[in-house]
Amino acid sequence: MSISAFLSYFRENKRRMLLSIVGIAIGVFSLTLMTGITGAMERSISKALGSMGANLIVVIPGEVKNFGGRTLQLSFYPTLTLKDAEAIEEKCPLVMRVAPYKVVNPNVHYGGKSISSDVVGITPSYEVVTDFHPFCGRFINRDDVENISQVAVIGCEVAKELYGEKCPIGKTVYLYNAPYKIVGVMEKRGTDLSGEDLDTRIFIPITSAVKRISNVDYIDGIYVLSVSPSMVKETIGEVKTLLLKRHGKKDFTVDRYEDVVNTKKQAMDIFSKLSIIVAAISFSVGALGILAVMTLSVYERLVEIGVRRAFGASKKRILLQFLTESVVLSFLGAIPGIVLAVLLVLLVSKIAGWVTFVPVDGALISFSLSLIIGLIAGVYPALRATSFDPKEILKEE
Amino acid sequence: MALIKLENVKKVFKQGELKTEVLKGINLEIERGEFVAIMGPSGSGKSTLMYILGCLDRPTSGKYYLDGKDVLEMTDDELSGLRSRYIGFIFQAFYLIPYLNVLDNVLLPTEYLDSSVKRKLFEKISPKEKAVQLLERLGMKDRMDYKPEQLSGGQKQRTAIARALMNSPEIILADEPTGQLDSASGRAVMEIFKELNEEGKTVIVVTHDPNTASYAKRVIEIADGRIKV
Repeated sequence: MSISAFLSYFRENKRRMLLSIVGIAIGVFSLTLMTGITGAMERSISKALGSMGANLIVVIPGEVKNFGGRTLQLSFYPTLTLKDAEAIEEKCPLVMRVAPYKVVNPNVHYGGKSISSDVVGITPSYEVVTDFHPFCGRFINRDDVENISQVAVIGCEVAKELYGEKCPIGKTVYLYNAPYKIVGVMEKRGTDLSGEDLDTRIFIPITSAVKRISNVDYIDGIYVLSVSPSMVKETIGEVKTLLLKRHGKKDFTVDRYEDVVNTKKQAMDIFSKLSIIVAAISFSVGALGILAVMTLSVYERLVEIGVRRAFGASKKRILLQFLTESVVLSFLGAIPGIVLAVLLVLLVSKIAGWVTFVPVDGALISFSLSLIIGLIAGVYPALRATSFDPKEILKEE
Repeated sequence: MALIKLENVKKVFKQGELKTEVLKGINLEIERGEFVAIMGPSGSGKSTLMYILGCLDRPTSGKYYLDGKDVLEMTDDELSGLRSRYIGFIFQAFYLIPYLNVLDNVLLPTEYLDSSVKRKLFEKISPKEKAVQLLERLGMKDRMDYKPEQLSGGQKQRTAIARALMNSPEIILADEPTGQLDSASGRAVMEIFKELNEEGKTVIVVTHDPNTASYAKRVIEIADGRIKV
């Protein structure tokens, strides 16, 4: 009864009450939004990295620098080869798996329709290292690589766009004018950390990419999987030493995959800090708003306090009533803030192609914070409410 | 045993150095089922006496036994419990809660009943059913959804009476109940009190109006902090 009674009071004083909870709403909104966006990003990052993400190292032929949150490859040397990949796998004991790759951009077409698609030459290890698997058919195997076979595993978007079906196994895709037989279709993966759509890729044996399509002998990079996440640093050292010995000069970069590709991290950190500041300010404003409105309501409802006391309310009950009201008021602000933030997170995730993520933690933290703030802001008005002598209130006319 | 027993009750108000003795030794017994009017001019101490009787205030000295319980020794919680069970207040200015409708105003006292008392009291009838019953009896059933501002003075006071009766208190304690009513509504309200008294309720009316007091079976006149003999 007492909460529903308060809601009636709320309805009678809508404008004032709404103003008082705007601060809480904004605080809860920014906090939930922040945890939601960072959470969704982190999920997407770890999904993009696969289950092996923490162990993953990348070797790039050239110099890579991070500028204001953007990764730039400053130079490129045509010196990294498949032989380097083999050597790393053989001679570095801390390396579990090696997956070299070569990206080519041929004209991709079928049945008079052409699409733009990154064609990536890989080895069977790529499936393990990136934790990215075919959803039907098979992946590129050792024989394909050794025989320089003209086979392809296509991304699910390619299957949809070019063939209009989910599983066009046995059909042919033309790279330039060379026919490649489709042996598998990859599962849906979305975008990787740099925003590249992995579902529009086509995978072919790396030997086919290097020798048949490009006719060169260098590759674009090597993924290296360390034996354990705790040994990544040592593994990087091993690989560096080996390559330096083989190439005679430092014409390559070896680093954590996460650090090289995760360009959005810095921007994200700034966003997080800003959100926390905004949340802190809004929560303080919200607390003051509730304090003011609740204190006002105490003076407005002196007669009510007197009547409640006369009909058996102890001081404790009056105290509890006003504390409850203040918490309810805070919750009333928190609910729209959370709902709005969750909707926005879902919307942003959808637009950015991230994993769908509901920031339950952020919502719970915001909710508890609003509870605490409601309580704190309610203490003064509630104590005020109990400080009056009921007979003095009731005597007055 | 008397329902209410006051022994040499004194009340002193202090304002800084200034001490005012408002009640100067009141001895009073009221039995169950009595209809008593407490009369006196303003400043006589009758309001102070009423708040002491209603357990909203405590004597400075003396003894007050309500149904045999020594009120002086009680904590705020105990005193509040006593009010919720024994006393149904009715005020001159009605004091309905403006944002609640008639029904919710009548239900308000049930919030403060001890859970065990509440269970016993509403064993056979739910609080809401009882409230509706009371409102029906007082001719307010078709106004249950109204807000106080939509009611006439007489209707407000009848709502307040229903509220006072909600917890089936032993005592109806009314402070100038007809003070803001026209004479017809005032008479109607006093008739309700008479009826309630005939059903066995103890009714105490504090007033300075002889017409109102005339409904009571016993009139206690108070002047200058003492009962006139």
